[in-house]
Amino acid sequence: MKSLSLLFLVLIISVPNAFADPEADRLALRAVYEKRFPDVPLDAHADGAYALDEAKREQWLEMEDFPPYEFTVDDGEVFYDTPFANGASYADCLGPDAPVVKQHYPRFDAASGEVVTLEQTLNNCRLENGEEALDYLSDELVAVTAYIAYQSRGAKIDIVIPDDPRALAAYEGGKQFFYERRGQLNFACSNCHIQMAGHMLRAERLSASLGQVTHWPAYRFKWEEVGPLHRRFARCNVQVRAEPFAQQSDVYRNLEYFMTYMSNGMELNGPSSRK
Amino acid sequence: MSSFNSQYVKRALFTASLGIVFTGLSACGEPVEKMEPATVLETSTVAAQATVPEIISQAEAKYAEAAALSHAWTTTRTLIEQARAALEAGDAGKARALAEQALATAVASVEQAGVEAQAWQSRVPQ
Repeated sequence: MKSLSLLFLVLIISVPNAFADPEADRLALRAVYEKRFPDVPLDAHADGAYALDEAKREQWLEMEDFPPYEFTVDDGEVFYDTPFANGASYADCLGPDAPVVKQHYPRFDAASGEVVTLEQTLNNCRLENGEEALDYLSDELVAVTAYIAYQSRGAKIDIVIPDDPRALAAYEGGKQFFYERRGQLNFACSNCHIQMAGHMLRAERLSASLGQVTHWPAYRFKWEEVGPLHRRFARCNVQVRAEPFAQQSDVYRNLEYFMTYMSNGMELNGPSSRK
Repeated sequence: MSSFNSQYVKRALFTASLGIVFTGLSACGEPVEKMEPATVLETSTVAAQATVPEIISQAEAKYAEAAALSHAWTTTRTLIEQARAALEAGDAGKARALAEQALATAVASVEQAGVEAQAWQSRVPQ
């Protein structure tokens, strides 16, 4: 009996995260930023690096006077309102609150046992109504998500991790990816966005991971167009010389699930513009 | 030390130095993580008599192994492509050097996957 207790104790000490739960993770992450940036309200991290750099924030706010994503949102509204050939529309697939639904994505789908993103839901809607699925980087799909994001502004992120071992496994997969070093430069997401958050990387201020998901899709000046979160994930991977994963791959969907859960309770403010 | 090992040491030390410099800069109250290049250096050797195509094949196999572990490096793919191009252009010396670098980075990426399978947990805020 004594040896069993000892074994259990050793297991708890040696595998500190084996018994972690998502809500404990979320609170621990928020505590890190509260301590690191005591003068920055946690909800302000929804503005990313612009919450941590006053000069860059002023420039960003100036740019937001004439938001570069505006035309994409307008296009998205047209696509959203245009019925499919069978008369149905995206709204028919998004529930009674459509188009204010972004706060619930990504979500765990019990039927497939996988995390489903808003982009996948839109494409599934198309397929169910006899339309072809769109490329995840296509102008139309990006525009529709931009419109939904715009309509969902102000809604608070409300990601649920149901009591299902598959959901927890997906969350843990995303969490592991976030904290795992990869690429020849040997960086984890957490190295830049927890350890180095607030510091400069070349000419850019590194944002906190808290709130990073609130403003997507985003107009990036490097892209000269609006693009989705997974495109940014891929670029981050390439920047550390790691092979990127496909848009909407299970790896990136699980990462989005983890990161979005970490920002639960924060207000959506997308689409936005970023350098 | 063979030319492979020489290139390997340079590549591994370059990688390690980047990691050390960056984590050093990033200390700011957080535990500083250290790279351990020694574990990388002892993982593989290339027989001096191996041909360039054989080394490229080994690099491709290791790259595939790293990809299966979600840890492939873009560097490896680029070096394999460059080694093939040099071979086709008839520059055997350059092709060998590039192929050896490709294999070295592929071995290091598999090593990284092995280390990170557990190491990531130490970075989770408690």
